[in-house]
Amino acid sequence: MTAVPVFDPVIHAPGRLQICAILSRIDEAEFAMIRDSIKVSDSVLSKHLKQLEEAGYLKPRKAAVDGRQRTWLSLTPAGRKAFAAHVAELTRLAGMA
Amino acid sequence: MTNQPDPREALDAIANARQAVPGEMKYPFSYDIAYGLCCGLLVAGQGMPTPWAALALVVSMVGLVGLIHWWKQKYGWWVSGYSPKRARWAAIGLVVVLIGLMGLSLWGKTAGIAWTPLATGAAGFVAAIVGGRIWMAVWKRELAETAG
Repeated sequence: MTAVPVFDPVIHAPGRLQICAILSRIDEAEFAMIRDSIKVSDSVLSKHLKQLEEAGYLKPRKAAVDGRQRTWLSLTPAGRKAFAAHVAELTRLAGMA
Repeated sequence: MTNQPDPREALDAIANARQAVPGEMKYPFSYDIAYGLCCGLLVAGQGMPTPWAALALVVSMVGLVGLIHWWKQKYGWWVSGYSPKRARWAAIGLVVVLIGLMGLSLWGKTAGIAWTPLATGAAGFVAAIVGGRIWMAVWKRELAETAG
């Protein structure tokens, strides 16, 4: 099913756009994997994640591995839907330019 | 890229970010072997006498959970076989084959054919390896083709 194009200002910021791009393809990813992929600091990534979480687009999950606490991230169904709609809108706008 | 990218820049950024998953990942063949052994044991177990069948089920399930854990630790991400739209059909196809083989194992057990678990287990082993690689190939193609 093709998403209805809707521009989403929460997703559109470069960092959050990249986070959603990665998470939209998989079930979940670890914090460090996302940080290394988009090349930002822990604090910058945390701010982006907090905004996505507040919008209801992201669900963090804490898991202890070998005595260390790790954060796993996944998009919520609302987040997946919003990202698909945003990509559809970007594609539409790019086609007009 | 500026703070608020134009649509083309944004689409490029999305494409670049997505290269991180699965990237140029080449997972070891030993993963296939371990996955095949778990699935083969799961299939063969259905044709074994009751205490061995239960043990085979537990060992294969623990093995599959262990493989998921290993993958997550190594690559930092996870995708279920049933999540991608197109590749999920490869996963469903594999499940159908494995269930069919389990049925054969059970039939062999009731018919009293002792070697059935060996044959179905071996077939399950091969099917899991081939099915797993087909799934990965379909998924990678799906990632390359779909932008949304």
